[in-house]
Amino acid sequence: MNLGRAKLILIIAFAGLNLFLAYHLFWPDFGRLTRVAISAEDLNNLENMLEDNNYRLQTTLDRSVRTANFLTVSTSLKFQRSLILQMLQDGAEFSYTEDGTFYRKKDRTVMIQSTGLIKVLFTPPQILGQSSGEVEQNNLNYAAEQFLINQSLKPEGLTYNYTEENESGEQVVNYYQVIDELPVYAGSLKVYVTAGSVQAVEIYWLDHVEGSPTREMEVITAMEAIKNLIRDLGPAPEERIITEVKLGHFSMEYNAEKWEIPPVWRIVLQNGQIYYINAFTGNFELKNVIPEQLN
Amino acid sequence: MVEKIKSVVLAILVFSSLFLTYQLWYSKQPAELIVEDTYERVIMEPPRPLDEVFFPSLLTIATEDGWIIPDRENSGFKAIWEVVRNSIATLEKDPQNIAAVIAEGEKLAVLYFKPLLPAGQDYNWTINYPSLRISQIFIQRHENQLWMVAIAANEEAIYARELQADMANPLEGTIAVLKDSQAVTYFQLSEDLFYLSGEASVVIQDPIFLPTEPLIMTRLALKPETYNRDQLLKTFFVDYSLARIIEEKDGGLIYTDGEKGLRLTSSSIEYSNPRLEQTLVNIEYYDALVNCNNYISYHGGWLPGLRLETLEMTGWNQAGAYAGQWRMYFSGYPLFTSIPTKVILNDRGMVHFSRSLYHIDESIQLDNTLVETANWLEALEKAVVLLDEERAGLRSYLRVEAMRPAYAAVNIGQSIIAEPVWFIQVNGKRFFLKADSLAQIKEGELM
Repeated sequence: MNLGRAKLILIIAFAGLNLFLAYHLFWPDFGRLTRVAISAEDLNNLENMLEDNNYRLQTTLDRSVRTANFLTVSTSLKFQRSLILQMLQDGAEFSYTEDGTFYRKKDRTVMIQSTGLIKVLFTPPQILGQSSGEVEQNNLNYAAEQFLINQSLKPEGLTYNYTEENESGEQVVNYYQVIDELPVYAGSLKVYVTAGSVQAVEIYWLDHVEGSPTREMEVITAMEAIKNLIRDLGPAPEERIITEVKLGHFSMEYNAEKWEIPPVWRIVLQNGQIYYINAFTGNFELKNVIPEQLN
Repeated sequence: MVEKIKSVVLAILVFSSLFLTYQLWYSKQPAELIVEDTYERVIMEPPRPLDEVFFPSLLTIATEDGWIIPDRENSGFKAIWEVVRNSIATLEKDPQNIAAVIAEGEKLAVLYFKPLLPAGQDYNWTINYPSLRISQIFIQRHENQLWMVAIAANEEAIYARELQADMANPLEGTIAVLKDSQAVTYFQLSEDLFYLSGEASVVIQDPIFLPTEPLIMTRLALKPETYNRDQLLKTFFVDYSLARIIEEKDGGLIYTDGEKGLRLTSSSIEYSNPRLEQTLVNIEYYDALVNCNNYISYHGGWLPGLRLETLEMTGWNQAGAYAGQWRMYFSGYPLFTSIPTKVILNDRGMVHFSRSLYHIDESIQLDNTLVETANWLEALEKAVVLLDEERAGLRSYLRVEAMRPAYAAVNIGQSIIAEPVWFIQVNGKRFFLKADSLAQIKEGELM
C-alpha cells in the first residue's frame, strides 16, 4: 500500500474518532447553551405564587441553566500584608491586645482582628472629595471609591453594593468582592461617612485559595430560590417587592484557616432586606449552624 | 508538499484524540454522577434493644458494715437485674400491708435508676398501669418473705409484690454471694456524718455512696475512638457532597450545608441543627429514651463501658426538649472529658449532638499507675475551700450534689491519660481533685 493512501485512511479514522470523543465530551454543554431552565409555564406558575402571597418581582430572572462550584477562601493575607507594610514604612507603632493587633500613626489606626477583620480609624476624619461639607448622595459611591484609591485601601475585585444610613446617622457605603467574575458577598468593605468626612473603613476581604477537588454542579434555578424564600417567609402582610435575584457566593465569617463558600441566590427586597438561598440545597443560609459545645 | 500537509494533519489528529480521550476520562463529571443518591438512612450500627442497654445506675447490697456496690459488669448485678426486670410487670399498686413491709422489713438490696426506668402499657417492662417512671426498687425481707417494692418518681403510689419461691430463691442466693464477696464496702453520705469547718449548713441532694477505706485506682493511658469518617458524615448529611468544609485553625474540620453543622476534631464530634430548635410539642419520656438510644447507635455506636447516664427535660433554648448524656466507665469509675457525649432532641429530631469517647491504650506503659485515694472528707473540704475562693459566701449553704471516685481525661506530654480523681459537685460547681494529692484539675484542662 502506498504511504500517502495509508495516511489518508488514518486521517479519516482519527477525524472520526475525534468527532466521537468531542460529541461525548461536549454534548451536554452544547445542550446547556440552548437549554432554558425556566419555561414560560414555570414563569406563569411563579407569577401566580407571587401574587397569592403578596410579592412582586421587579427584576428579570436568569433563565439559563447555571452550574457552580464551592469557592475555597481564606482571610486575605495578601491585602493585610500590603497594608501592614505600608503602615510600618510610614513609621507606625504596633501593639497587641486581646482585640487584635494595632498599628498607629499620626492620622490613623489600623486594627487587625484574629478573624481577619481590618478596621481603619481616621483621626481626625478624612475629608471625602475636594472640599469639606456634604457629598451628594449620587456622588458618594464615586467619592468613596476615589478615597480608597488615594489611601491605598482599595482591594482587588471591589464592587459597589449599596449605601445605607446606620443608627448613628452615618452614611455607610457598602462594597462586596468579586472573584472569578462572580460576586462573593462574604467579602465586604464598608466606608463610614459623616458630614462629608470618612470616619472609618472596615474591610473583610478574602483570598481564593486551592481547595478540595472540583465539585461543579448544576444549581437550582432563580425561580426555585424565590419559591423557597416565599415558602419560608410565608405570605406578606404588606406587598414585598423583589428587586434583585443574583447568583454569587456567600457564607458567614469564620475564624478559620480556610473554608468553602457555597453558591447562593441573593434575593434583595425593596425594603433593603437581603436573603441568601443556597444554590445547591435551596436552603436558607443560617447564622448559627456551627456547633457550640454542649455542657 | 501534499504528503507533508497530510503528516502534519495526521499528527494533529493523533494528539487531539489523545487530549480528548484524557479529557473525557478525567475531566469534570456531570452533577448527577457527583451527587450520590444516598437517601437511605446510613447508620454506624443498628440500635440495640432497650433491654440490652438499659440498666440500673446503681445496685447496693446491704451488709453489716455498710453497702457493697457491684459493678455493672458483675454477673451478680446482671442476674439480679434480670429477675427484677422480669417481675416488674406483675407489681401491684399499693398492695395490702405495704406500709408494714416498708417500715419493718429488712432492706437487702436497692436498685437506683438514673435515668428513670420507664414502665407502662407500651413499654418493654409492661405493667398494667398508666405510664410510670421508677426511681428505685428495693428487695426487702419481711416476715421471711421476699418483697419487691418500686418507688415511682412521677406519682405517690408504691408498686410492690411478694416474690414467689422460684424468683425469691435465686435472688436471695445471688445477694448472699455478693454480700460474702471481699469487695470494698461503702457508706451512704448523710449530713450528720461529718462537720465542715466554717459551720456550713449542708444538704446532700442525691444518694451518695463513698468507700469506707481508701481505694486503689489505676492510672490509664487513653486513645480517642476512631471511626470511618465517610460513613459518619453520611449519618448526618443525606448528601454530604453538598456540604462545604471549613478548616479551623486548631485542625478541626467543620462540615455544613448552611442548615446543619458538624465539627470533627481528633477526639470529638459536635453537631447542631438549629432549624429544629423551635417546637410546640413535648416529646414523651419513653420516646426520648428510644430516640436517644437510636442516635448513639446511628452516630458512632456503643463502646464497651459506655452508659446512658442522664435523660432529663431541658430548658435549653426551648421547651419540649430532652437532654441525654452518656459516659464511659472504666472498672466501674466514670470518665470525665471536656466535651460531653450528649444529645438534645425534641419531637422534630436531633437538635444537637456531641461525642467524645476514649479507649484504653494498652500500647502505652505508664509509670506509677497505682493511686491510693485520699480521705473523702479531706477531698470535700478542699472542694468547699475552692468554691469559697471562687464565689465567697457560698459555703454558708452547701448543697452536695455528687461525689465519687472517677477518672478525668487529661493531657500529659504527648499522651492522654485517665487520671484518678475525686469528682465532687457542690452548689452546681464541678471539681476534679487528683485522687491522691487532691490537686485541682480545672475544667479547661480536661481533654
